[in-house]
Amino acid sequence: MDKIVDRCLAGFLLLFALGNLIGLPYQEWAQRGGPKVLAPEFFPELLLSALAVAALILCVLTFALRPYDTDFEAPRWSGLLLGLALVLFALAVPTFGFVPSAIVLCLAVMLAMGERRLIVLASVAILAPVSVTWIAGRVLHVVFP
Amino acid sequence: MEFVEIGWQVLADPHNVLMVAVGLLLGIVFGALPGLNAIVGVALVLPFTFSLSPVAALSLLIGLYKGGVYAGSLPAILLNIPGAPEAAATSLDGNALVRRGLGAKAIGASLFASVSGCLVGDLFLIAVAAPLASVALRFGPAEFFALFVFSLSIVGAVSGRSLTKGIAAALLGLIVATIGMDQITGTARFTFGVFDLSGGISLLSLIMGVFAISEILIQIEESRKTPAAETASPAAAGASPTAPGPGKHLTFREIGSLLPTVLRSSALGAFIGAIPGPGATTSAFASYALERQLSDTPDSFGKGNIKGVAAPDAGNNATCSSTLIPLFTLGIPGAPIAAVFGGALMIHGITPGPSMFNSDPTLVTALMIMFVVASLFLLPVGLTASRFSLKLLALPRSILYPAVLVLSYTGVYANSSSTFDLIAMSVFGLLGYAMRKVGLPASAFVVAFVLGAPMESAFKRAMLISQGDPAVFVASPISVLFLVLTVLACAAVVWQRRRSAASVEGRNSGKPDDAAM
Repeated sequence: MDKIVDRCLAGFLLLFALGNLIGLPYQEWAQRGGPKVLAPEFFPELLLSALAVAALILCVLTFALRPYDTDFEAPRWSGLLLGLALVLFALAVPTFGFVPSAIVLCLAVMLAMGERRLIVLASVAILAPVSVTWIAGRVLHVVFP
Repeated sequence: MEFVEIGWQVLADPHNVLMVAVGLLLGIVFGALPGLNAIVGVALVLPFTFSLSPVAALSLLIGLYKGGVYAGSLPAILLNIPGAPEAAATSLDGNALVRRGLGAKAIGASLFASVSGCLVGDLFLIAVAAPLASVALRFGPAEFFALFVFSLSIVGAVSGRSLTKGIAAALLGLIVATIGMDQITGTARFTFGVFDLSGGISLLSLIMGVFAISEILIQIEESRKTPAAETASPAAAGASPTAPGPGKHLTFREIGSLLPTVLRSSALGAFIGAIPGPGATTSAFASYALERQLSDTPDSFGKGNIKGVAAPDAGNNATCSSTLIPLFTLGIPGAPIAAVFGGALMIHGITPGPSMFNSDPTLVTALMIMFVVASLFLLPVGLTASRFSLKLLALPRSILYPAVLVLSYTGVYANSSSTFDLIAMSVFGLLGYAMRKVGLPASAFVVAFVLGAPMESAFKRAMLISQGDPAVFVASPISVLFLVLTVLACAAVVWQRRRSAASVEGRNSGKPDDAAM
């Protein structure tokens, strides 16, 4: 399982590097007389090439080394779903406003963590966003959407 | 003389001193809560420092950092749950002392060692930083580029179990740093037509996402795995480890006997901290191992030896200040916390690096002084706050983490008033979470992101000077030295890991383990 995960990681990194190397849409500043190394794409190209090499080495090591041990730890649904909930929260802020979105986020996190007491759910989900944004608004003069 | 004069000016402003005390208190709160640590604390508070003067803001962050590192040992000692990885060594003997009813003694030794370690680290920073910065000022762009390559290789090599993954994480960080306008031509890179990306990725949203959000996601997973741990306070466990009683507190005689241990460990910690890469966890375990080696009774370590608490805490806290030496003198964050501090300096309009000593000597001196003040304040604040912070350990995580999440998002929005930064923070939170799961070291990614712009700038300036000839990077003995050191350091890391893996494997089955590559 560890080997497969690292092979997938190596494959992803390789695809990312090669995809960007092939599809870099930058203008060729070097063609206007400057040396190639000062072109806007040169440094990213250098890094992407190094990343492709690192990915290849990682892939080769998964075949060459025995026994193979890695840091892989299987993700859990709770972590993944909450991560996606955070992205949704950030996307919802411009439309629904910071405080209402934060209230829903707090509720979701507390429910995911196993909190079921209604009074605690309601008080924390409302008090935390309202108080933090009120303080930030008063002290830092921030206007929230 | 100038040092003393600036010192008086800084200390005469009660605002600065108050900020240090507030920072220490906040740091102890963050450090005492398992899962949150000094880095998360500094990252969370950073956006709220904009309205403060640079000295006051950095005083707050210095206090928070020192308080957080010290308080990481509290849950390690009392609950056997290290508040941060560097506190893991303290839990070995600290918790054994608690189980013997000597918790107050363990906490006293931890505080004494932490304060002493902090002071030794501060003195090391003051003594080494200025001379090293004056040497660094003679470096040209090629030398700086070679130095950046060396530092990134070291950080990548030591921050995870796999050298290849560490370097891949560092390369990803450098690639993310190139998002936005090219420095010379103004051409958009990796923006994919998204206007908000043309200014690049906000440092704060990246730091908060990778460190704070991913940590919270992991902690939420953990809390679902072990729900009983969320209320596992000493009181809940029926123990009262800090309750006063005859012979329970640290005596002056014991302080005297701990002094050589503390000084040795502090010196070792300060030295390790000054090297980019190893960090506080290495300092703590190296100090613990050294003390055990020197002890007449090595078998008593792990079973409640008070020196087993003092040594890692002194080493760990001495690293606090010295870990910033590469940042202040070379502009290189050698550890994740240094990357966050580098971000704090940049946000307040100060470019970390050797030029800081010439362009803003007053601020540098003020910073050094505030480091010493924070260390001195740690003793009374730590004594007072330790008892209070124990109550925090009983706070349910289902209440704590939603509040911390809201605080994180509020902080990032307050910094830029941009909803795009909220999206970036969430995405980097998910990325940090994924990186932890597959073993890509997030610290190497963040350090590389911070170094990305100066590294590219050094590369391009060197190329401009040499008119495109890459031989410029091997023309100077200093850059050759750094490039040779890069190869040697990577080889040494691989060799050392293979050797230790082979010895472990040899004990088990006699077969070598090559995974350290």
